[in-house]
Amino acid sequence: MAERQAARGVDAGDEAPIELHDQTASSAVEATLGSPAGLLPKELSQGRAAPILVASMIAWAITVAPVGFGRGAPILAGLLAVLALGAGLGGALLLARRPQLARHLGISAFLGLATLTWLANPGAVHPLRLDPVRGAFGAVAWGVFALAWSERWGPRARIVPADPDAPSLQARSALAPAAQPIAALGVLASLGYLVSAFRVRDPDRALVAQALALACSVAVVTAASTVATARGKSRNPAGRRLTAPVIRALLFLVTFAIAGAVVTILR
Amino acid sequence: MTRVLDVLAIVLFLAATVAFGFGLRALGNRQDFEAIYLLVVGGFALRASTELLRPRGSAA
Repeated sequence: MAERQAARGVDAGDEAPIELHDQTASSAVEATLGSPAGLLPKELSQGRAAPILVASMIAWAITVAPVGFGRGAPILAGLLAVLALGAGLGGALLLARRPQLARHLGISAFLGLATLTWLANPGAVHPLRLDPVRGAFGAVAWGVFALAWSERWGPRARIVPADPDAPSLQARSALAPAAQPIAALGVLASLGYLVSAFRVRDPDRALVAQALALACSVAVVTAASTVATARGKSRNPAGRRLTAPVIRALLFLVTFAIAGAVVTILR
Repeated sequence: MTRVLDVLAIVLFLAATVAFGFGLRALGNRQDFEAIYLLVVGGFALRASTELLRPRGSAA
């Protein structure tokens, strides 16, 4: 009996402390990872499995299922679609216990089987048969799928607690007045350019309009950040900012504006 | 003086924003001359607005 107790590391005197120690250790493990039996429900309720599960299912339902089970789809496509669904859901469910295997299954195998499904029924993904609305929703669904698998926003990211004794950092300067509305206006205007480029119906001009809209968007967002933040910064000693480049830029602007207006009137 | 230049920079930025918008609209309406004119004016206005706010040392 004593040998058995010694083999278990337990004797009559210290049985209670060892049990307490074991309980503490197991509760600590359960607190961090959860017990094996309760790991899946906890992962589904608090972890990342639920969003991955939903994202995989939605991406599959929008882009893979119609190809695998549509009218005239071969049996192989349906089989591959079912396997893809199994891989996507299985990867999410295995995430808590086998993270590496889960990623291989939920990302690599899911994408591979989805691709094979599309290849097994290429007629269903022909550009003439693609529905633009469904295609847009599918693109969004795959984007959400990618975000759901990203580690960056996961709950397991270690959060370093703030040091309560550290002195609070003071901002060295404040934003200039109306900085946020100007930056927001720049962003909204850039989005408006990108949307307006899609209204160009002429095929010859459509590509040029897209390129110009992109260039205008980048320029306006960049300039908006400069105008929003650079005002109110330290001035030069003379307090004068009409330097030669500024005057040159203003002269170009005025000259071209007047010349263009005159030519427009004369035409 | 500096406040006037700040306001001028904002006005030029707004003018550039509007000019770009009308320029793209003119391009869609097949008014190529107006489109080029507005887009170039917008570009000059945008450059002027940022040059106004650039520190003197880096502007040279």
